[in-house]
Amino acid sequence: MTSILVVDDDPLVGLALKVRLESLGYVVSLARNCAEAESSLNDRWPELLLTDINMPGCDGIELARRVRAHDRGRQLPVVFITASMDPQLRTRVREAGAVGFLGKPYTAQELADMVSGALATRTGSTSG
Amino acid sequence: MLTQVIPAAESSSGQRCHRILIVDDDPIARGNYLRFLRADGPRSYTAVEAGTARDGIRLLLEETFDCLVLDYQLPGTNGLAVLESLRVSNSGGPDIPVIMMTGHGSEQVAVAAMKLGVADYLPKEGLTAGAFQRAMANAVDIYRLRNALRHRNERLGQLNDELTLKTSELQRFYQTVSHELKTPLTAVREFVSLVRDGVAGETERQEFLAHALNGCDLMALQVNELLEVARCDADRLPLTLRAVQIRKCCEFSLAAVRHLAIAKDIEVSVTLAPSLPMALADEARVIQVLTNLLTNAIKFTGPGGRVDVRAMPAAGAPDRIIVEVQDTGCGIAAAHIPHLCERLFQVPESHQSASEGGLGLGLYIAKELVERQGGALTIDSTPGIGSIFRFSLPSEVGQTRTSAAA
Repeated sequence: MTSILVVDDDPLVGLALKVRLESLGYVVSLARNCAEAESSLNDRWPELLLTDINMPGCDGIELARRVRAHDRGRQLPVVFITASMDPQLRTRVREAGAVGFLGKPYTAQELADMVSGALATRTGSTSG
Repeated sequence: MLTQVIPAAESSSGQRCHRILIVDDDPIARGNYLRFLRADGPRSYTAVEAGTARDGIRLLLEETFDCLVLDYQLPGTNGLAVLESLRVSNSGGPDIPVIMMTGHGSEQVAVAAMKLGVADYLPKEGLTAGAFQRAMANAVDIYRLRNALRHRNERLGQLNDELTLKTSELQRFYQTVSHELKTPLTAVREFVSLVRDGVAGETERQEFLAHALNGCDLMALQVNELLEVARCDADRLPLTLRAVQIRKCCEFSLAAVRHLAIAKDIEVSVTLAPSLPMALADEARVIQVLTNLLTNAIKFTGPGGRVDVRAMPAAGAPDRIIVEVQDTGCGIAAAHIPHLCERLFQVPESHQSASEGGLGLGLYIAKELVERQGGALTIDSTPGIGSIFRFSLPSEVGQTRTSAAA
C-alpha cells in the first residue's frame, strides 16, 4: 500500500484530499502544520509528501527543506499544492526539489495524474 | 572691492523684487546697469555689486540672487573662468540666470558662454536701457518658469512613486484575496465531485454536502466583505445618521451571533448604563460593527469563556457614547495591536485557516464604519487574559446641543 502524507492547514481541504486519495487506493495520513507533519514522519515514512505552501509559521517549502535534510527524506518526492498566484512560487518550489506543483482548485484527474507521476519518479530513481 | 546695496525704484505692478548681483571691475559700467534697472518701470530690482571675481563668487555661494550680471573682462581672470570655477564649487553652477557683458565680443567667447549656460550675452558698447532691461526680464522670467517646471516635475515624480507603491499594494491585496477565496472553493468543488463520483456513502454524502454548503456560505461572506471594503475605499458608504438606541443594536447583534456562542458554550452579557442617551448614528452600521466585534470575540475565546458588552456615556465627554466588547479570549500581543485594523491582517499565531474565518477585513471595515460615524475604535488587550474592543459614537444629546449653540 502506497502511503502519502498530506499537509494542509485548512481542515476541509485536507479532508477532501484524504478522501479522494483514499478512494484512489492510497493510505493517507493528514497533518495541519509542519510540527504535525514531522511527528507523523517519526511514526511512518510515506512514499510521497503532498503539502500546501501557505501555512502560518513554517510553510510548505520550509517543510520540504526540513524533510529533505533527513537521510530518508532525500529520495522522498514532494508535490506542492497551492491557491497562491505568486508567479515567483514556481521557481521557489523547483529550487525546493518539487517533482510536482498543483494549483487549487484541482480536479480529481489532475490530482490522480500528479500523484501517480510523482510516485513514478521515485520508482524510477530507486530502480535506476 | 566694492559691495553696496542699491534699492531700485519701487514697482507699481506688485511684482516680486528681484535680487541682482553685478560683477564688474568698472564702476562706471556698474553704475550704468544700476541706472537701467532702476529705470525699469514695471519691474523692481535690488542690486548687489562686486568689483572682483573673488567677491562675486563668495557672494554667489553665500547669498541668493535671481540673476548674475557678469563682465567678461575681469582683472586677472575672465567671466568664462568664473563660470567654470562656480560650476566646480557648486556642482553644476549656481542655479540662476547669467547675463554676460563684453567690451569687445568675439564669436568664440559667445559660443563658450552659451555652452556654459548663460542666459544672454550683451555687448557693452552702445548698450541701451531697453536692451538691458529686456535681457534681464527674459533671463529672470525664463528661469522662474524653468524652476516652476522643475518643481512640478519633482512633484510628478513623487506622485508617480506613490502610485507605484499603491499599485504593488493593490496587487498584493488581490493575490491574498484570490488565495483566500480559492481555498473554500477548492473544498466545495472537491466535496461536490466526491459525491458526484460516488466516492461517498449515504452518511458521508450528507456530511460532504454540508461541508460544500458551508464553503459556499463562507465565500458569500468573503465576497460581501470585499464589496464592503470597495465601498469604503470608494467613499460610497451611504450613512443615514439619526437617533439610535444602543439597546436595540445590542439585541440585533446578539441574535446574529447567538448560535456561535452556544456552539462554544460562551456566555454573552449586555450591560447598559442607566439613562444612556441615544447615539447619533446609522443603526444598520452600528449593528454591523457590534456583530463584527462579537463574532471576533467569540471566535478567539475558548469554550466556556465570557463575552461582555457594555455601553455608557464617555467619562468627561457626555456628548459621546462608549460601547465595549470584552472577551476572556487568548488576547493579542502588543506588537500586533497597531496592525489589527489593517486590511487582510491576521494574527500570525491565531492559526486561523481560510475555511474557518473571513478575509481579515472585518476589523478594517468596523474601524472605517465607526470613523465615518464620527467615532473611534480602540483596542486593549492582555495576552492570556483577554481583549477589549471599544468604540465611541456621538450621542444625540451632544449633537442637539451643538446645533442649538451653532
